[in-house]
Amino acid sequence: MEEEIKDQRIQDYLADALEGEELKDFENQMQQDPELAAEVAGYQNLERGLHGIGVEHLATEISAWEADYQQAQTTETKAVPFRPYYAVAAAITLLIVTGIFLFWNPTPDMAVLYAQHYTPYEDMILDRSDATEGTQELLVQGMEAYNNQQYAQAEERLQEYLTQAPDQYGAALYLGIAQLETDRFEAAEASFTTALQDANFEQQAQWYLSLLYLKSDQPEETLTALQTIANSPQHYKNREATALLEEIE
Amino acid sequence: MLVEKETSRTSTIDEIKKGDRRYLQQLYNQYRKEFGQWAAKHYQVDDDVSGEVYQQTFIAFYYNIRDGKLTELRSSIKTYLFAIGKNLMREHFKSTKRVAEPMDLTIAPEEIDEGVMAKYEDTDLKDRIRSVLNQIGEPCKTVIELFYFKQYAMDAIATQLNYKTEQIAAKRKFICLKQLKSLMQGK
Repeated sequence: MEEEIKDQRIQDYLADALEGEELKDFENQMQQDPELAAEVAGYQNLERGLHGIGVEHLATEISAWEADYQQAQTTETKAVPFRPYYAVAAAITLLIVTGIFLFWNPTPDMAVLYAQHYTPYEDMILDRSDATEGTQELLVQGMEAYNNQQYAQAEERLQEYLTQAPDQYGAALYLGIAQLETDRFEAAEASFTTALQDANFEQQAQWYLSLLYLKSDQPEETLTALQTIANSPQHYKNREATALLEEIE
Repeated sequence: MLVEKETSRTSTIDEIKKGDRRYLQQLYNQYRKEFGQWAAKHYQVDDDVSGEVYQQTFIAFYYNIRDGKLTELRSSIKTYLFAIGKNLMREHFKSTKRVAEPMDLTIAPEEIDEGVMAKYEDTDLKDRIRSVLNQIGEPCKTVIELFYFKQYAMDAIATQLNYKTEQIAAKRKFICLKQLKSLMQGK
């Protein structure tokens, strides 16, 4: 079986997309080919583990919903007046606790956190068939340089491309990442801000903007940007932003 | 507030399968208080215990739908939730005391399985996966996260990551799985 066809069959089998004769054929193949059967079993095992981690994630979310519910119940039922001397005592306690926290909790290393969370976004826009067209040639050259991690060259080409095609906001995302790679923070911020205008790249731009603030050691901006993502349950980086916030805070 | 109607049961299953968290949270909140009152009445438990059991109940309910065990709602969502809850309460009290159980909550065993998560409990496997997850780059990290951890449907992943079709997203997911498998074999 050709590798690509085999992969497609395994993919369909795992997704329960094989039916009737196709399913029967594939099951027969597995019976006759122990290597294929073992490969499929390996994928099934991996998926079982991944779903297992998914169960844990869902349990954590549900536990947060329960905490919200309990909080709402407490607010509804226990509106107890807060006496002034309690307020003073609470303020003193808070000061002591905050002092202890600040003393014992050293600032996390932003560079380490950045390295743990940063990976350049995969090229999703390059179409080499367009390379013959004038403006597109710049995009192709820029993205090829980006894919080869030649970020200075990528910046030059993409910048030029965007001068000629300023509404191609997706390219601005990759330009921003190239600039982030070469520590051109102000320019990168401007590029990500441009990319925010495209609904298709808005979330990616938000994420890389927060990484930019992290890398350029701007704690307040980092927290604000991450909180925006963490407060958007549907954001593709919601979980990672929440985890990063916890690590920072 | 969600209002459950007979006609909306199929769409309820669809919505749950999509993994829409806001919808799930609405469902969670919709029956949470009533579940606490029901548990207090029948099992004399406080709200902390009923909250714990309700969380497990809800996860089991979700995975019964996601894993295709429950494909059609023949009763109300509340009946399913409380039937799973009854079985989990029984587990909870197994070693402590006997209780008189409510009799009006019976769902055919082939329809629900409160132990549906047991097959996902392999801690060693999960640890091995976690140890290589950081080694896969983008977009694989995000694809895996969205599909397996946030339970996004393929069409939602395609939209989110700007893939032209859900088939392309599915293919990408398989490539990522392959990459992860090979990383695990290298461990």
